[in-house]
Amino acid sequence: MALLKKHWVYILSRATIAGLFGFIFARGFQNVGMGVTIGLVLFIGFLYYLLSNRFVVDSSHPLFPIRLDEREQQIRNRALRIAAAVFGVVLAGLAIMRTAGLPSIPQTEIALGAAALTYLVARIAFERVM
Amino acid sequence: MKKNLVTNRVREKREALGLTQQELADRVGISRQSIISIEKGRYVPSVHSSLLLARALGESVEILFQLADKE
Repeated sequence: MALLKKHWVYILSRATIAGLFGFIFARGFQNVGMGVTIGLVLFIGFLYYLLSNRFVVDSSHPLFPIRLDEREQQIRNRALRIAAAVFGVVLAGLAIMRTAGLPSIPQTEIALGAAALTYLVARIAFERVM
Repeated sequence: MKKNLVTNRVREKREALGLTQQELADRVGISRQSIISIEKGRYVPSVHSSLLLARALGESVEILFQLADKE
């Protein structure tokens, strides 16, 4: 509770951002439930950053207090490298499949999706072993 | 699994000073999760962080970190 009180600027600003995103989605998709859900998920994500112990919380910058320390930077960089490699391999594989006469599929979107998924999985895996 | 090449006495020294992991993390400027990983020997910090840890614990780096004996 003391932590929340100490970082009220961060919490208030992120609640505003989450609320804005929720509002935009609710208006854009004409679906209040979706807007509320997205706003809540975003806000919980912001709180996770503050409370997870995985990031350095620098109180001298109340609006942007979250910092990656060297370990988190290493984890992020390793995960990014693996995701970039997966992106290239999937894209090349799909291009070869296309030239071999297989039906056309959205190559870039699939490769990006695979890379994003790889990044998340790699981050979780490195968090556990590092 | 890769064997740790460096062992450390961070936990021992921290507990001797009566510091929590969060307090040590705040003094050094790294996350509590990093302190946990260092104490468990899963993560070997950079020279800079090692020096900051040594200063925060009032020890020299050589006492805090040692090369693991080869088997």
